[in-house]
Amino acid sequence: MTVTVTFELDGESVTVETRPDQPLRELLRESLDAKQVKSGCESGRCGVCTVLLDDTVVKSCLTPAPKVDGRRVRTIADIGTDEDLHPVQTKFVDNFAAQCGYCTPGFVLATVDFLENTDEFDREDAKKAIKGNVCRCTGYEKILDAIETLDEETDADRDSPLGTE
Amino acid sequence: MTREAPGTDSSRSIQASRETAEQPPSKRGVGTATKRTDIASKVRGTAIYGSDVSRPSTLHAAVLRAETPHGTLRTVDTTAATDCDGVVAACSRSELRGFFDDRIRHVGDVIAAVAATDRETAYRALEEIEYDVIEHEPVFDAATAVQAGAPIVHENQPDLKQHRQHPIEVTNEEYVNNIDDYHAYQHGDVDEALNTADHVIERSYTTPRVSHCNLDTHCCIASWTDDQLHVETTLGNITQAQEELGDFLEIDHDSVEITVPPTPSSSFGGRSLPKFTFEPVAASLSERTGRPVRLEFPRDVEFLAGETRHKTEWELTMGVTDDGEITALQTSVIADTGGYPNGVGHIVLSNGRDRPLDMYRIPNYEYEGVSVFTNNVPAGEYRGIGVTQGTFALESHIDEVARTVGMDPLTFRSRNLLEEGEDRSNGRGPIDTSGVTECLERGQRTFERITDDRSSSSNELVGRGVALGTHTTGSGAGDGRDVSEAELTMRTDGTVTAKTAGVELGQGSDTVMSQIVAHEVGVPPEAVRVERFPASAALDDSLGAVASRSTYLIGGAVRDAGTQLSSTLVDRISTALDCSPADVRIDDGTVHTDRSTVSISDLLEEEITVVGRATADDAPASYGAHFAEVVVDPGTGHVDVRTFVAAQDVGFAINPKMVEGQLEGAVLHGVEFAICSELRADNGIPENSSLADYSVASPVEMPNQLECEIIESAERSGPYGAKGLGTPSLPPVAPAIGNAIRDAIGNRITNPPATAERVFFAMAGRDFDEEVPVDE
Amino acid sequence: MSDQSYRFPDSIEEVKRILDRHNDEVTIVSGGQTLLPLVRDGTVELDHAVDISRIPALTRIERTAEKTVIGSAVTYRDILASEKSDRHPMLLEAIDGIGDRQVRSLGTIGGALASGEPALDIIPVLYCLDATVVIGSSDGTRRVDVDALYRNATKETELRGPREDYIGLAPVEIDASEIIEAIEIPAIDDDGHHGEDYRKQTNVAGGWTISGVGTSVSLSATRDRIDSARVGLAAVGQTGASAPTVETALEGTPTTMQEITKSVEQLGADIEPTTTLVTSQYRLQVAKTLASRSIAEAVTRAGGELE
Repeated sequence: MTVTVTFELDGESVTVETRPDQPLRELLRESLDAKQVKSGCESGRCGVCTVLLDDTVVKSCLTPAPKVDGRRVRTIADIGTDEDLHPVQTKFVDNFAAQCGYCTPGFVLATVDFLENTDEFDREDAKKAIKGNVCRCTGYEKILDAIETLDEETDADRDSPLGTE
Repeated sequence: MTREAPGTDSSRSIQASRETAEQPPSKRGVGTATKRTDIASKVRGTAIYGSDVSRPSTLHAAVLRAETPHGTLRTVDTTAATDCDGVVAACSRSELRGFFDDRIRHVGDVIAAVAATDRETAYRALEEIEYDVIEHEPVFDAATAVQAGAPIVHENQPDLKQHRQHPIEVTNEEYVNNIDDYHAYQHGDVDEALNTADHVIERSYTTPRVSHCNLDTHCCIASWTDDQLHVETTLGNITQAQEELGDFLEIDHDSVEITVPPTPSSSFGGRSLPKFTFEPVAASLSERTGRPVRLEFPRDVEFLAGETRHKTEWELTMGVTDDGEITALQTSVIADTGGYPNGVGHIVLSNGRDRPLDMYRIPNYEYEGVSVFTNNVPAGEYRGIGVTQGTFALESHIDEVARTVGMDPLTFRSRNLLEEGEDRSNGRGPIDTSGVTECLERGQRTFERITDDRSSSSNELVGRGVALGTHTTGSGAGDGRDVSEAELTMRTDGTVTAKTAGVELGQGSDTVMSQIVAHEVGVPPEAVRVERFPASAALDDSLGAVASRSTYLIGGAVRDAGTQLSSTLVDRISTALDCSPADVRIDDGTVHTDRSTVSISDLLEEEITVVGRATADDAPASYGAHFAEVVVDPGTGHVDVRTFVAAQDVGFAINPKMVEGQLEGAVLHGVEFAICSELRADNGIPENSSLADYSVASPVEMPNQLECEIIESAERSGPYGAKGLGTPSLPPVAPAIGNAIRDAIGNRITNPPATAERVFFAMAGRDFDEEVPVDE
Repeated sequence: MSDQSYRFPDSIEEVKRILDRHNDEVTIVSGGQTLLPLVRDGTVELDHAVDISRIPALTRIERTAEKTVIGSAVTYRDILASEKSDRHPMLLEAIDGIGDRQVRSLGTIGGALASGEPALDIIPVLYCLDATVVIGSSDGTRRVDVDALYRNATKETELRGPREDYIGLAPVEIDASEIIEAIEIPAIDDDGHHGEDYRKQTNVAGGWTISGVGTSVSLSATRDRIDSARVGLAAVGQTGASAPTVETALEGTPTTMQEITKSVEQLGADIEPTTTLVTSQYRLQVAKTLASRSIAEAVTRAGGELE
């Protein structure tokens, strides 16, 4: 390891050794034991390794780890709590939007980012918003159901923006 | 299992819709969309899957895999690798435990393996291994491989301790080499029937090699304690996996214990049984080093060694009368097993043989199937083994036959459907419950309602298609040998622990089991904790979470235990309250009598443990009628599945939302099979072994509008009338889409996936459009 | 230099100084979205990274009466969010279809141009918009047309060497001592006679582009004749490509579907379709279909009536 980076991970400041050619996913999972960040295709397709980088959704397998130096990384661990789920998580629960659940953290994070940056949308927009995430179990239908119901939710809830801690 | 479904009398009644069905006693028991019990950990990201698990002092394995498809290993020198810092052991292929000979049979086959303190070191050490391989002529085409003179991949029917091996007698003189399995069957006189048929339609179909693409890659941790091997990995069929692994490694079955990680991940058959180059390799390295060894497949190895659906070639010849009665069917199939046997060739061939007879009346029938070793990557289990391929061929063919006869494909099918209570043409007993007619009627009604007012622009070709499909529940034998047991313990706090053979692979089995307990006992589902019982438990189970048997058989065992628990509990309570058992009602964890309302925990002084059991005396068939509407772009050949209706007979929907989820997932795998996915290979080397290059379906490929119609035929033998769902829901999807494409472009793609390119050239060529298409 | 390093230079000048001294060893990192898969499969060794994503001058979008200047490290996401791009609808449409939400968060135009990946949609779009690429080094700054980056490429770049099994194998005419600083898109002379369109076919949504065609046209004052046309192509040739024969054929023709189809028939003279994922025969056919539709749509958007 040749490069030292300091960044905020889920609200905690961390300093860790990495390499220029190390993907962020590997750093998070292997050096920081952040197993909530999943590993899937290793080619940027499946989206299970999705995280928020300064509140912008990225794939951590396509992000050089040193790039996050001085920045803020949020994983699924920083979205909601067991007692108080994030609205996106609540809708995923209500709509049966997870089966094996391996892809779910990535979908939740992509949805959080989508909702924070979208005023109005329909199901087709939702499809486009999650096309960087692959699910093998659900056929996407119940995930889209969950996102669609969030449209109504966010309209009513504009004053309390999603995703704040 | 002979209990009645709630809300139904003992005669079979088909519930028209959930709303009109009588509600079961508990609001959150069976028949309701109870929330998944495992969902909180999944949306929070706290669920720990196979590839997330780490154990203390574990070594990391890397496998040197063959880049050539066929050869003999002369020398393998692991000295330099062993000398690398951090490497604890390096084994050549011949040093691995089990039946590893010196032959390389597919790209990705194992040459050597290394265990090191970290994964990078292990992979770096692979570069230090030197080996010498004498290359042999490879064979990639199954139809060629089976003939005399073809390069030998294996002697016929090698004994690698694969399950379901059985003696075979090959009656086809052209089938000489590389035979994995062979089945021939006939009834009636096919030759005569074809000679006298009004129409004889003959055609070939090919289905592609496809991968499950489970997102959580294969990962196992193997460790030894004295002579006891422990493997932690997601496996659906644990009992059988322990036996197979024991046989392969030449140790007692009892010396192998397989446990699953805290949260198992999706399988679709990809995690049913051990893989040749996976668990045995980790076990060997662990034995050698005396430490736990973790082996994880990189994504490309998922394609090389994770096993695929068998590529198949079908030839179907069907005889029919002018008025659309099937008089004969002659089927021949060649399945590509790839480099190693695993017992699955047998399932491909037997499903190919038997399933058409669960659907149609076929008085004269001749079937021949052979599964063949080649130097392609190994094939194995994938949702709907053989039946997905066979249904594509049969339902495509029936569509063509109907067009030839000049009948509407749906009417043609109805005319030839086996009826409930009618003996199958192979002499096997009758179909007990079949919702297929209801599937057809309700599916068509919904489909017409959605598609009726659709207009199309001149710039697109619209087509509609239908296909039926059926598959049995459980192992399919229905001979009473497949059993499952479950143990329920109610604690004095009123909570229940259910120990079952289920593996929660995402299909929702834990939730279903908790619903069944809740329903029978009268506790809330969240008061039920579902666990997998350990291999050492004195509880019996044959096949685990495969073959769509979880709800049917494991659920049956849980229900049996639940009724026992309920009756014991009511006895205890009535004694405690000094009332008649008939006066005790338990609902949502609360005990109601005429005189009082108290919680279970106030009354129960000692915990109660009961064991339930279910035996598969039947293998009920589940049916589906699926309808597709496609829009084809004539300028590019691009196919858009605009509308899809999946009407599926599930017996009884214990959790309707999760049933929908299974159906929608099946549609995704079927859409891929129909129009997206194919693992292409050049000289046995997969060309698209990454998720960037291998096409998996995104939401955009899914139907724009997808409706699931849940049909309930109240299966006599299943808990509450339930029967298998996961497997039976997939086979009709791809042929329904294929038939819609045929309708749109006037030509049939007989070799899915119907990629834009294939459709484009099929439109241009129209090379076998002999029959006049029928207007529907 | 040490074994490995990852730097965030503050300015373009600093980047140029680094390139001047160490251009053989360093790799410029912008978003990393095309780069990291190449690092992972061993095509690129990323030992000394120069990350330009925090340089203010490279992450700005500026708009003047004459042109829009997009810094080479501006992300696709930021371009979409910037109202400054609203005068180039084709640019926004094409970017909206690039990769997925996550990829657009970090991916940049500069990174796409430098990779030369012929399947990237942005290259034909910039070509149609008559964009100029600003390339700097310690020797100064040069401005080249987008297609010139690929037209005469004769050497392999540090980033990407030829690989037979990969869809991208384009050499790019940028020296290792150089850096792409910005992309300049001239303002359209909005006389109401201009129209643009980009469309593509992918194997699956979000997957590789099988064929992509962009068009920009200017119609005559009467809007019944094509004065000039640009036709840019993605994923059909070895590099980012244009279709000069088709463009020439379109010039001066009436805005009829027949004339458009006739012109597009000459596409084969402009490209040698690759065989990645599909056959070259099919790729050419799809390119022709998309080109006809794209030109027709651009003509319609320019106010032309298609006959």
